[in-house]
Amino acid sequence: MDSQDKKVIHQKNRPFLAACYLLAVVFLFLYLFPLFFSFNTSLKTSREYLLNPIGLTQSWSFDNYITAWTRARFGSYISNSILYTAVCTVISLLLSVLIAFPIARRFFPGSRAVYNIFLCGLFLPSGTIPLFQIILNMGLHNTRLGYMLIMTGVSSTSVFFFTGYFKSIPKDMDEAAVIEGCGYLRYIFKILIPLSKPAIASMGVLSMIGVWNDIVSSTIYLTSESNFNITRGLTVFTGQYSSDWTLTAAGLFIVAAPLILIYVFCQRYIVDGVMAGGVKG
Amino acid sequence: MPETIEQNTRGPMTAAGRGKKARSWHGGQFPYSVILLCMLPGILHYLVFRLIPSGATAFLSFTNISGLPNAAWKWIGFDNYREFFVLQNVRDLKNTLARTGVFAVSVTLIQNALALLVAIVVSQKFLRGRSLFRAVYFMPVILGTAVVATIWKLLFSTPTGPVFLFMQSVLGIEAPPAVLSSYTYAFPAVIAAQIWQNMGYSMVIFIAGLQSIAQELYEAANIDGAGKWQSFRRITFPLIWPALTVNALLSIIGSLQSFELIMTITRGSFNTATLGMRVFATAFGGTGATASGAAVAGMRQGYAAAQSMVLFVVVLVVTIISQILMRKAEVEQ
Repeated sequence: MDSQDKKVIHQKNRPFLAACYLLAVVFLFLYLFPLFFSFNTSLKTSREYLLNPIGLTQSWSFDNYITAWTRARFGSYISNSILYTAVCTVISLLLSVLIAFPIARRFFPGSRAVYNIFLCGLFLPSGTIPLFQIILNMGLHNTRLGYMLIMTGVSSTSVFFFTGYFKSIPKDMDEAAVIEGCGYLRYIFKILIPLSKPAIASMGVLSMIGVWNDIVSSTIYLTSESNFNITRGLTVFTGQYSSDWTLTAAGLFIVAAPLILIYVFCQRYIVDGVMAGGVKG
Repeated sequence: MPETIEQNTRGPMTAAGRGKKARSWHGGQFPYSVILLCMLPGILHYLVFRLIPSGATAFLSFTNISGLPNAAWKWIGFDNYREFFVLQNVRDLKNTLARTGVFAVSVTLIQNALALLVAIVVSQKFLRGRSLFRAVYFMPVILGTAVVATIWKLLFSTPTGPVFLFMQSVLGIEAPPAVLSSYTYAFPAVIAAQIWQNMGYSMVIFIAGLQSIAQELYEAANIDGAGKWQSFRRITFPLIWPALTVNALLSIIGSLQSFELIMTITRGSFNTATLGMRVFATAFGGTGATASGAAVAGMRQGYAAAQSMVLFVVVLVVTIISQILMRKAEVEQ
């Protein structure tokens, strides 16, 4: 079909084209306005916000961020969140890779069964209450370790995703490595993981976002403020300053900024990971 | 024939046939013990923190265990279930179940309808800035519950929030309600938040489904004089059905159990306590433990476990029924 034909078709469907643009823009507004409004609010002084809540900020003041940061121990929340996110993501990824690789290669009898047991996790209820009892009886309630034990784990999605990915890596690689005298762990770290960078990135980013955004487990397992992660901190903060919307908005963006940054740079991996969980699963 | 033998000897499973060692299973040539040892931590963690707790909920639902350390507990048979189904005020029971149903059905229907619509729009080749649109619609999925809840509180705040001002000055309502603390409007607002947050997720799955449809089909339909609606009805819709099935399943299961936004926006007050919210609040404290949104004393985890078993059965039944219906609809198309 040459370009003239295409033009004809497009002209025929002009109302359709207009409707598409209209819808896209309406939804763009529905999704950007709340973010934009919040950001705009965070840059206003309280007085300015009360006088003119909708208008563009005149003062461009970053004071709210400074106030929120100093009053609400956001420094402590963020360092906790970074710790939780880093530890849980790295360990979860490692455990998942070490489980998915032998399954992908069918190294042992019943590997299919092990795979299915991990897939069950997609459908099983979460078992929040017994989990709480386990942590309580281990004496790990309200400890960083206990929280990280909960947030770490081999997710069904990652076993599924990695198994599929590792199957696409030729087995010849394994054999070559063995002939060269390469040990198993060395093979995993030096060859398998570097070859699986896109898969690791997808699952890694998803896991990071999951841990960073967790609000349920942090509400359950963390009771003292020094252990709070950032989302829990934000919830407490908005409760304390519930009438001061400019401060709340600033707190909101302190939490959201790292997420937005990650999103801008890792969008492709995130979408790949989401599709892995959705389409094939 | 020689070819297959050549291939077989390369596979790790039959490589033992080469006669180095008489093992039928081994890790390529990696030591078996190391491979299993490396799998062990992940498997143990999965057992202790995922499988066992998942099964143990049923067990705990027959006890009066609390969330306090070292508190005595005992086996109480079906008392928790009796409390939920019989002793509880009938209206509370009905309200809880109805609310859970309304939440799940409206989220599933609206979220998928919007997501399919938006996915079709941003899959149009002529649309400029398609990837930007997609990225923006998907953003709230990344932002997470705490951020979305805070945005919602900001939007619906009274009397300076934009929704309040919109109702007042554009719609001309003299005294607009404080939506998030209204017994009538808080629940729809929370439903809207849930849809706003997760629409992009469903959209991404639909986009993937749309991409798998061969463009030639549309071109052929176009040449045959089919309109946009006909192409949608006869090509897109039947071929997007698998993605729709996945999406419907994910959002039904997700929304039946989801209480994160309810917990963070209204804390289960103002007629927003769904069954999931009640389980959480009964087990771990806070408002939203009853249908009316009140808190209950103590962390009644046995009772909460029983409620969560009820929820589990609801999810299971709804999932199976919806799968059967969607299969049937697929065949009929």
